[in-house]
Amino acid sequence: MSTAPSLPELQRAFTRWVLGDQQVPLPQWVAGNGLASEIRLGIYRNTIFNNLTAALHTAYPAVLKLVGEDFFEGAAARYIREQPSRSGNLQDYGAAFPALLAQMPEAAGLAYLADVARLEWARQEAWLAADADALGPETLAAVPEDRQTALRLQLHPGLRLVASAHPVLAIWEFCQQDKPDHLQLDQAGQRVLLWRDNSQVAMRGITADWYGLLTLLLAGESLAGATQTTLLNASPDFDLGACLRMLFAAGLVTGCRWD
Amino acid sequence: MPVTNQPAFQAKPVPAQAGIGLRSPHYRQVLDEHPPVAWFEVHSENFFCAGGELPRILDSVRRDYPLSLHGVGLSLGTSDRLNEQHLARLKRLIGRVEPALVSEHLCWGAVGERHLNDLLPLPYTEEALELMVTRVQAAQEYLGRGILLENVSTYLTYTHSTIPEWQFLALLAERSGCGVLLDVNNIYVNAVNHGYDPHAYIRAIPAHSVGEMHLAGFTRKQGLPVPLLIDTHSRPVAEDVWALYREALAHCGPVPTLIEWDQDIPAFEVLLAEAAKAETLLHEHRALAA
Repeated sequence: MSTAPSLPELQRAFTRWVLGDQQVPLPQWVAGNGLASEIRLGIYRNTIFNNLTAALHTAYPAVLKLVGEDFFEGAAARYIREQPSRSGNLQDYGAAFPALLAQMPEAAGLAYLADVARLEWARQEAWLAADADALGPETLAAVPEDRQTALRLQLHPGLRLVASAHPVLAIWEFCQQDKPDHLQLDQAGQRVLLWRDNSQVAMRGITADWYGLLTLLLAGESLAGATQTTLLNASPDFDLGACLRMLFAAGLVTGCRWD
Repeated sequence: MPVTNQPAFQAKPVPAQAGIGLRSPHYRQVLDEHPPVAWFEVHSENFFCAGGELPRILDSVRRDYPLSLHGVGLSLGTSDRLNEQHLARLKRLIGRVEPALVSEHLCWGAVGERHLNDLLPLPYTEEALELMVTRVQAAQEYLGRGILLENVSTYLTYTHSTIPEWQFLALLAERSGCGVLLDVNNIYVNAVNHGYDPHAYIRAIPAHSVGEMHLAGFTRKQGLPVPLLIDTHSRPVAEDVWALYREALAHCGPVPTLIEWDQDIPAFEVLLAEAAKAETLLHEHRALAA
């Protein structure tokens, strides 16, 4: 009989045991009462893995549909071992799941999988992000003539951008069908703008020019500077006005300053 | 002087009646149909997000019903420092929705910066009791209000525990000043799993400390040499648990009582029927006491 563990010792041993290190001397501190201690502890291990896997299911329904239950569970189990949950709120769990999918040799046949996952995490972030009041396009008229070049737009906290070499939005939409037809994978890559639109997350494909511009604006670049950079490589039909109208119409401009 | 037609929001007290744990499959129905429920409880963490639809849903619910916030992720029993970020998010939520009750669990769920996101059993030792008392006091002070602590269902006991679970809970309430959220189903599950006397358990809890009760359904794990119940919250409340609830009411008096259902969540009407059962027993108790 070993001496009783301190609470920190017990909790650290418990954590290591449920994550797969069966060498830690945990079972000896658990009363069997007619069952092997390992069976009792195993109930906790199952619940912990199930809870975290369920959180990943919630965040990544399209990935689940693409790979099926068994594969998903295997990937989730690996993720749970490698990426500790850092929060007591399960909505925070799963940010690095796309990166794991990108590395998994078993997923190499689905080159688009990690990007679909990135799209889904962006959806989750957009869904939970802070609120912000939208500004109308008339705000731009208030900018003094000599401060135009300093104008910076603040975009909605729920705005997200995802770029992929694959048709991620088309794949995601394919996953929403009850009876999936067939998927055309040989389409061009897509850049997607996501935002929260009342009770749903809205998504639309955008051009490389819009993607470049919005990325710069999100990074805090001035509107003039971001436009100038975008124009260096923009296609001839790049339309700054159309992009700004869309942002205002969707309520995605939530602040502007020109100091 | 500004005049407004909107009366200031007044937090409605949670009555000594049957309430329902509100989960996402029923949000829409509750907002649209406004069913007759005495009060609702939600999991605090589900509404930690900064914005969007979820906070708006909770705002509507709390305008129309008394509200209780029930936390599942604070990990009060961790041997590490308390997660201040989690507490801060809880405090912000409390400030926003002004719940009538706030509760958490007698358990741990995280250590070494790693959350296991489960309600894990503590050893019932002087060391753990001292830690829990300190933690509950710190949380109550930080939140600026009293909280209720719930007894959890467990599937193991530790060989070095020295205090019976019921005594641990009673001492925690007495020393920290917190209230008790007595989960009657968890008492029953633990009584079966560990050979406790559930009646003695209830009698050991100071009646005045109990501010709320929980009722839920369990499942039985098959194929084991000893009976083992799992607190799945996936079934109706068992007959034995209703009987125990009657005893708990006799001991504590009528308190707000919650029907919880978290897996295989049925139609809302099923929860209403379970709540009506609890209401009948609360009513019976009042008639007997009168």
